[in-house]
Amino acid sequence: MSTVRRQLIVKDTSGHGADFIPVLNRPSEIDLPKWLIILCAFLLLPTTIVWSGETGSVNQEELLTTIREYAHAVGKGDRVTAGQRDFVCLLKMAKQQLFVDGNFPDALSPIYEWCAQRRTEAHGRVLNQKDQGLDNIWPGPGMLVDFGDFQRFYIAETSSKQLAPSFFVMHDIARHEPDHPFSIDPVESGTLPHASFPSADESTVHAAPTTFLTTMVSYPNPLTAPISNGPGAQDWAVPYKKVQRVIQSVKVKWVVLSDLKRLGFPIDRAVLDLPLAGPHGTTIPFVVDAGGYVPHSAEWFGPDDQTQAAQAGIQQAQAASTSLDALMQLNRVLMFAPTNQQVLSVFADQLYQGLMNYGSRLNSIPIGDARLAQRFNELYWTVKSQTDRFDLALGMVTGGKAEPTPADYLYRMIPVMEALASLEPGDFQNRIHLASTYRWTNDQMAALSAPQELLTEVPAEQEEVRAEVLLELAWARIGKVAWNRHFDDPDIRKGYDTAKRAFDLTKDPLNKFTAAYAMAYSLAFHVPRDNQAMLDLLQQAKDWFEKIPGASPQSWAYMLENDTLKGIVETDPTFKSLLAAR
Amino acid sequence: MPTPNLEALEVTINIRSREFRPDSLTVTVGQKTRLVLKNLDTELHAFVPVGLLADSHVAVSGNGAPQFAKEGFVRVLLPTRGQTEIEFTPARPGTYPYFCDLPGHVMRGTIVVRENSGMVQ
Repeated sequence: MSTVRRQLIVKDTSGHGADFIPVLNRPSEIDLPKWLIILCAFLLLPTTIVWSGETGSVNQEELLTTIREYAHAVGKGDRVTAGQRDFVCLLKMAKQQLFVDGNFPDALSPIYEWCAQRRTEAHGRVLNQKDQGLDNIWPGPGMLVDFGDFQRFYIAETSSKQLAPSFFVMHDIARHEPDHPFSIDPVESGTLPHASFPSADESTVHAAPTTFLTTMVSYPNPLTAPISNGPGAQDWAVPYKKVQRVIQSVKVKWVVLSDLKRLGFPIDRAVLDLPLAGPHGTTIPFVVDAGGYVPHSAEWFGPDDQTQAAQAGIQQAQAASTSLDALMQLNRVLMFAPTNQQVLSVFADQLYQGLMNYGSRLNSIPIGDARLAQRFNELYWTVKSQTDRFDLALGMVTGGKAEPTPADYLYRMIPVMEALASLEPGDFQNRIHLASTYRWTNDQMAALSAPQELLTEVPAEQEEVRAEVLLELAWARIGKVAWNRHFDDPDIRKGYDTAKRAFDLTKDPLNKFTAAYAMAYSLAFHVPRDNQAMLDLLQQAKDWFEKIPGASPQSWAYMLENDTLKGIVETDPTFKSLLAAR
Repeated sequence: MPTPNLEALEVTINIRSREFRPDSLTVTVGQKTRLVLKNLDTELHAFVPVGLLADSHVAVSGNGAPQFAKEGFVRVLLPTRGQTEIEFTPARPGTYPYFCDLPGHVMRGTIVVRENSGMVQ
């Protein structure tokens, strides 16, 4: 053993161009297995070379050039350039004897595909595959680069865990930011013990001077940068849902092998990215440090220091081809601008509209006027939330749906609206919508208290706003009794009275209709029920409904066909006149 | 010595044209029972038992929406063409009404729980 080590030192330090092959081909005095000799050489060679003092000097500029060439080639998906600067890829080329006259193989050579494929497979481990419905972050499942807790990434090929540097410049990061996906700037450089690796015919072991350059990899655009769990979250032991943030920069240590032309390679320097599995737990090449992510070096965007990016995110969301894309964009913006009022406002509107549109698809009643359509669909969800609630119960994840469900919209909407309400309490429309969402989720206490609180704040002169708030309160009271089925609950009569106050206050036909309808609806739960009074109120509601732009006999008829009113108006002849008008 | 029958007795109530069919059925104290409720109408219905399942252990399956309160099972909502199965073991003999509480639905029925003469108390 000691003979082998000593001779290796002598051969390696005897000058460039020395050939190692005779060393290991020479008959050994001890008959050791070949693999053991190579393993020992792997392990001892780098160390002995350091001991011998031959560590080589560091040319930071050259290192940086090689690293940048490799990183940008990986980012762009340039398989040929990346392969030609990837040491393991070079090693594979040498083994397959693909170097002809000291040149790289042709760009069409399958070797580049092999090199790219192992990188792609490794990088796939950090692509977030989890579909979280409306909590998805743009660009969404299967495309979002999420480093999680920056734990070492499992590499299936080598059955090992690594923090390989190329993860931080991977093609999926650059895919959505092709012009300038990241920048790489030097931080610190130094030498490492020589890397060792088997010769092409595996008869001997080579060594190459090895240096490292720690770089800052910065992502200029928070709309496209990778994400991870937030500051400090990496250390949490509990599997609690962690706060996610957009990464602004990380430190990455790159290991570069040099002096390679001497060993027959067409290029003098190459990056060590994903080492191969060596014998008995070692790696090929054998190095004391394979580089990669520098633990605890991540910096994150925000909160609230990226106003321009937030604006751009809003614009992209508004121009998105699908509502899911838009919502994923806004989720991302909220990661670095969680208190940006405009983002919250746009997000709340998008979600609210998404729920309304879903309701419209379910009830299939076309309404030309946007204002009536919104009120009609709000009433649709109000009735649904008090009756079967089936569409409000399952999210796309638990229900295995391919698109957001009403429940997804609803439960994503509430925290957004709550954040907006705390930032901008004077935005009464948002708070009215928030009160509706509490009612639709059957959060009865919040549904009652939200409009009651609003009534103390909305100025008396804003009569129409106060009328809308009163309607929210009326529906909250009616909905509570409709769901709980406690017909002696005084809220059913209070609900009627509140709707009556709204009716008396408003001059808007839309609110007049809604108030009259709410009063009639509440009577369905009065014991004893007064069907004549109910008919009178429904007639009033109908009269006001017909004054609203966009109203139609079809949409009015639908108001009588829900699960609360249908059973009454169809069985009692009192309502015959009303039904005849359908 | 006779022992309680552990195999579930299956009884079915169909809902059609705003009626429970049959509107009366009999089960036995101590006999594990699987009550199948099928809504064959094209509107929402509810099954609201009075007293039958109070303070009882029930297992509910199917696509209905069950509601529970502190006294236990309260009701189940049955969607259009929906079905719900309720497994329970009647504890006390008696005649227990049930109904649909959707406004305007005048739908009632009874479940009679009879003594199990062969069961040792």
